[in-house]
Amino acid sequence: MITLEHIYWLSGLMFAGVAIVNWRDRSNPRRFNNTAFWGVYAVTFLIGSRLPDLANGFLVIAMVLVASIRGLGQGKQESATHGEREASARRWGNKLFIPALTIPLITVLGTVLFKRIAINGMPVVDLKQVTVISLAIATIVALVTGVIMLRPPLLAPIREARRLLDAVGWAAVLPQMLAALGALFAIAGVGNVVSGLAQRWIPLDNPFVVVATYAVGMAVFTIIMGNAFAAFPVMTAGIGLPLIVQKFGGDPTIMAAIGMLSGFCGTLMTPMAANFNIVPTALLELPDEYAVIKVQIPTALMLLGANILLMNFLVFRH
Amino acid sequence: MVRPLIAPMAEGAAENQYGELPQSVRYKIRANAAAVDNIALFFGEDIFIAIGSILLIKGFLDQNGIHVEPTQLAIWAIPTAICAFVIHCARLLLLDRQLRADIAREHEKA
Repeated sequence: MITLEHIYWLSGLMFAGVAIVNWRDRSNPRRFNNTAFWGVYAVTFLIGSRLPDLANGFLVIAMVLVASIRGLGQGKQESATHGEREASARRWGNKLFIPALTIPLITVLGTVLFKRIAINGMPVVDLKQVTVISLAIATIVALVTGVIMLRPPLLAPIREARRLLDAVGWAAVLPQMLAALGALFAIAGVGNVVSGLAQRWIPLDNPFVVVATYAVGMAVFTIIMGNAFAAFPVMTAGIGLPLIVQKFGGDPTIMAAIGMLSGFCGTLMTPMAANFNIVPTALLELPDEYAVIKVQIPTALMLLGANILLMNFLVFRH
Repeated sequence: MVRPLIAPMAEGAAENQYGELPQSVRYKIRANAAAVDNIALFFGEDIFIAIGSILLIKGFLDQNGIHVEPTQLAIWAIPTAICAFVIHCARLLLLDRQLRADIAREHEKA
């Protein structure tokens, strides 16, 4: 049976490859930082399940130290020149989308099919994680399709993975780290403190008031932190789970989905999310640094209102 | 995405319709192009299951003993995506009218 553990190995191998490509790339002035960062990350995937939690914790701290001392760099090597890309685009046309579209297609197909396939009564994949496993399989299928179609150099996939990951930088590990932080919050009882604080100021005995507090809290927290991912664990542990789900019996899936999108309304309104809101004004040579935020605020506020109403109607339906 | 593609296309479309554009109108179109890029990205991406936010939600809820399907999370992102589309399209229609008025005013001045 394929479990999440196998997917971790696959990810670990990819990150190890990224570390090795970085190590050999002399055009990157901080190549050893990148090697250490992705190398340690690879270790957490490859053997993290067999290490004690404390050891994993130290590995994460090691990653933070590597990323904060002198930071990560980027190599200058390009695997394909602009001319090569243009020639390839002209030759393949819209067929170039085939590998990319393979991913969602196979993922959805796998999610449906794996639930029905069993060998000797044993399911082929861990049914609790069927979507994520399907996604990993779909990615491999897409990679093989792409390699067969385009016949790039053997090492091109891992080099391109390296280029993309280094372009995103340490932010690539943010969702995973914040999910882990959420688990810590849950164990430490941060939720109780936040909901205690909220209850002191707001009468939280009415479901609509609770939903509105959660959604607005997501948006406000996101405005302060600049990132909805950071607001989500705090607000969900503090208000979402104890009040909406446990007290009023709301549906956690709907709450979480719309809660995250309420946070995104906050992202539209904050200069802290500089890469979305401030960088484009520079790229577009706008005289007003806040021009994009000003355009976005009315939509963000209306959509936040829509989210509160949607969550209120949908979350308690069951 | 916005600088090489959306902003020049939007400016080009406006030029086709109105001829030479005043600088203030250009700035307004560019700011709106960047905003459209953000809004469509934020509220569109959650409909696909393999995006960071969906995986964060799943990871966080797993740690709290609640197991949810990424596909379900993606489905419940659709109502908000539709609202975002309707709300922002309505505002863009208003923007078109406003730009027309702005340009007419500039022409009168000239």
